[in-house]
Amino acid sequence: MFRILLSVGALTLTALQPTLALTPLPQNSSLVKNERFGFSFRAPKSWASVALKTDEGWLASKHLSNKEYFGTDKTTGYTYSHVPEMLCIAFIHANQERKKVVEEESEDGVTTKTTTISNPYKDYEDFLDRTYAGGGWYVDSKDKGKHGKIEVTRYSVKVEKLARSGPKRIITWIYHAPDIDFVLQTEVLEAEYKKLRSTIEKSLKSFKFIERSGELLPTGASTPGGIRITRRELTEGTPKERRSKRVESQKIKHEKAIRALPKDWDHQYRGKVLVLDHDQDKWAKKLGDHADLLIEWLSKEFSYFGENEYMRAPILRVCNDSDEEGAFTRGTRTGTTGSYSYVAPGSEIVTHKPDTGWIGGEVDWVNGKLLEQWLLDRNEDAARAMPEWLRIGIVTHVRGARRDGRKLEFRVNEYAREGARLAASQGRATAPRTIMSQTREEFSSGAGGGGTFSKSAEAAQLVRFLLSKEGARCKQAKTLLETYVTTLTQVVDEINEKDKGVASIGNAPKTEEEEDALGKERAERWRQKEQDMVREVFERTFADWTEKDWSSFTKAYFKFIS
Amino acid sequence: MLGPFNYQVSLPAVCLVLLASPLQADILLLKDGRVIDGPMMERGEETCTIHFKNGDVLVPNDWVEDLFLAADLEGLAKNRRRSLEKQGEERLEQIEEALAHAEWGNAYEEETSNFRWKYTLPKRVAEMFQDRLESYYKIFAKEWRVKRDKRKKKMMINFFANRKEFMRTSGAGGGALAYFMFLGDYDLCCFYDRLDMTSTEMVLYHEASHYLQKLLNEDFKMPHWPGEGIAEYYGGALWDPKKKVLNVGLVQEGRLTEVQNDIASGELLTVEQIVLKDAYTDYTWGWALIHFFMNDKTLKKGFLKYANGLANDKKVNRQRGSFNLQMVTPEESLRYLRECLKLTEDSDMEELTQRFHTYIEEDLVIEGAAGLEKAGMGAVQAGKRIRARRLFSEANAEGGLSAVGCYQYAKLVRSSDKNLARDLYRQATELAPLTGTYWYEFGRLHTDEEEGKRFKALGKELDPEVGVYDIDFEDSDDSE
Repeated sequence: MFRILLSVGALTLTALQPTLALTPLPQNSSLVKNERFGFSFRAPKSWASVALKTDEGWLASKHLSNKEYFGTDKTTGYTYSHVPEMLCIAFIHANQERKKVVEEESEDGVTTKTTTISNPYKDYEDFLDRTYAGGGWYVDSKDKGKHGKIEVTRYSVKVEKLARSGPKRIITWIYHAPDIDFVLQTEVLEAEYKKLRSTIEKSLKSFKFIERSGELLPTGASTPGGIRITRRELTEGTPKERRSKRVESQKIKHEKAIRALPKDWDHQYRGKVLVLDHDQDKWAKKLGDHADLLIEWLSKEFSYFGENEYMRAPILRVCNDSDEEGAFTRGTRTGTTGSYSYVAPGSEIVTHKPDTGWIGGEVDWVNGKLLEQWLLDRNEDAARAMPEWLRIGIVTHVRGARRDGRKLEFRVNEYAREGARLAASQGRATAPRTIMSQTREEFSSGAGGGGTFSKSAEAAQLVRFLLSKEGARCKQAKTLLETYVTTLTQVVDEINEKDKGVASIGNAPKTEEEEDALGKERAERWRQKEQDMVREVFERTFADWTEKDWSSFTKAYFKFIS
Repeated sequence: MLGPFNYQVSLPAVCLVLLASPLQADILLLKDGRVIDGPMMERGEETCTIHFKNGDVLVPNDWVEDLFLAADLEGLAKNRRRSLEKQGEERLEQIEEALAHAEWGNAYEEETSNFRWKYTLPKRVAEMFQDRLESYYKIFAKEWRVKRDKRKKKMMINFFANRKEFMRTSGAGGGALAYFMFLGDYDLCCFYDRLDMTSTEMVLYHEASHYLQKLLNEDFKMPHWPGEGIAEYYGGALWDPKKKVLNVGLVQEGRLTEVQNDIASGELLTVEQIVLKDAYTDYTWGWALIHFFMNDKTLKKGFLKYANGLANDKKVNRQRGSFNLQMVTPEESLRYLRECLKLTEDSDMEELTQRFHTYIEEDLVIEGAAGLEKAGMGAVQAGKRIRARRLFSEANAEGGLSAVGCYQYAKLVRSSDKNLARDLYRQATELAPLTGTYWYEFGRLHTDEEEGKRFKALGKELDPEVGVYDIDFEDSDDSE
């Protein structure tokens, strides 16, 4: 059997391209100087330097204005804000060729063929096509000229249609060296362009080629250090082998993150957690200590979940504020907008010091990401198979965690508490027995209405009850979570084992009728599989429970939520 | 840079050089706006031959707007030569003008009776769409009794020359084919798909229908159902160039196939479910239901009253929603539909659903090669490969597939029937001889290795982007 893993695009590319390290600059200077690549320019005064992604292969520096500008959308009437941003990008000609690397690996008769294709940016417009997420754009003007002795191409790009944060102007000069094109790009609101034009031009005109020194320019399509670890290796093999690979992967990620830090960023270990911060030492310490304690709590409280599995120590990147965090991701392929971002285990969790302080939603979000990484590293299959009530319950509970001295406190989610209390007082709360036997579809039935919110609130309170002192005092609830989760893990393992044999069996349909029947059966199978899993876990977990047990448990739970 | 062969929008510099010395090289102008220069060319009775480095490509004379051959000047009398050169210069000036408008920053801007237009596609292609959309406007306006507010700006149609430009400049994400911005002065963005004119036209009509629905009451936002269903119904329109009329309400074969696939999988939606469910099925089942209403004499009047009344009837309970626009809930929409169609009892609703299902089964029929091909495409999307193969095969027998259809069909059969796949790729190269992908794929399956290499090289010569991910997936294809 051949399994072909095809990864195309800049996501792959970023891992293949070397990082452009900046030489340290004197404090309080706007001078950006890179001797390895041989350029310097002056960023606008008082614009802050922004960190670059660890794997970033194209951006040489980023700078963010210290001033925020506002505007009103004429169509919607909504107000938007925008912080001007300058990017310096280096296109090394030798790295702009497409490359294909095919690797084959055989193990136990199974051949895995991995094909990696690098697909570098062809030119500046291709870079914008693939990274710009601020709205629809077009080249308003483009001309060639000279800046001193340097050949330059000047772009004026307008962002008009579906523009996020308002219509914008991007002013870009490309400085052509024999082997590198350097791009200096500044994005401002269209309405502010006239005002900022001279500031931008000053920077553009300050660009110089300088003598190169230090390491040679990076070429070729190899990862720094020549090490490549695939996801397959991290999730397969014995726990010992996995641990060894994960430790190795963690080491590489941490070293790379530290190596790529800009001059005004610091790094520190708080327990096992690597924290990178930009002038937020106090907050970084606090958040790092908290993250470390949360991981410790998860490992202790849910020790039975993915026992012996190694969780890669997280990396927390703490930006100065939300604008800096936004700028950190822009100009890269993964810098698109969206309300949900998946942070793979071992990857950086990017956050900032929030205005809302320690109690606000930003720390909730970080907690959620730490939990996600922990669950996926400990037992990905079981984590993904969790029924809705359990998933919502654990997430809501953990999001509320805050370190207080040497202990973790778990803030009650007021929406959940009130929602569940209200449902109970109005006699429409769902019995825990019902919630715990429901599939996702059953749990979410009536989506969009008040019912779903109420049920999520009840799920959150149910898990909170199982983890509470009140729960510990209830005979039936005392070890219920552990029993349920352990049973879930067992059932998921059994299903996976069973599926291994089934996967290759099955005849391809020969007629349209068979094809229709197969489609129908597949849809039904997914539904049935989940239903079987949830019912099986339920049956096994509560096999010994009598009606009296249910009655006592339900009473204690309703008392708790009321 | 695309090499010696250029699309009109790609290489202004080359053509400007030509302007300085007209007719020193062969130049081919196609009716769809493309310009080819560089290779040697020959005029034939039915086709024009372009001699590319890796092989000859035959372009049907029907496609040709103009062909200038440097050889034509040889041996001509001075005055005749001068006259021909002058013609060439005029043509090149037209090309220069088109090239000047090929970038969005300098796009053509025009007005027709009811729309403003901004576009980068060739002028003569745009004019064709302008005429058709004006006809479409008149048909819709008459049937729905709407007219635009002449005190307001006409809606802007942003017509991009290709998908890439559309994705870049319109700000649309994902797999969007077009969009209508329902706020402010209104804005419609779409693109010209050179290989699929029919789809380009239908997508334009679909989005324009949203604008026309808006004219029912500009303070109202039509719910997803019936909004998308109506847009699909009016999107099923095609211009008959012979009769010079627009045929509206045609069967959308792709949508019908999706409905049929759902039925085959046991998903049979009722009228009530369609109205209440705010989902993708509004494009498929929603379209089918509106097709049923609009083609049933006993229901059409009631349905038009309903759709119009949702926006305007004082008896409808509307609430303010996003962007401060009036909206109705699905429950209110259903109540009002029952009122307009006089469906007082639940049994009336059940009976209506029965009639609707019968209509799908008996009246909505996939016909003609184009219809079968679209149905085949729909089946591919739904993962019904056996059905897709049958539909493509029937389409081919009935009058032939389009180049895109051949390509899709070939992809389906290439692991099980290489001979058929090869024939289909060859057929695609004949139908769209300037599309590099088809030559490249034909080359990959060619029985003669050297010839195969040559065709692959020709594909790349026509389009350097072809074959960059040259991975042979044959071994992993488990489709059969």
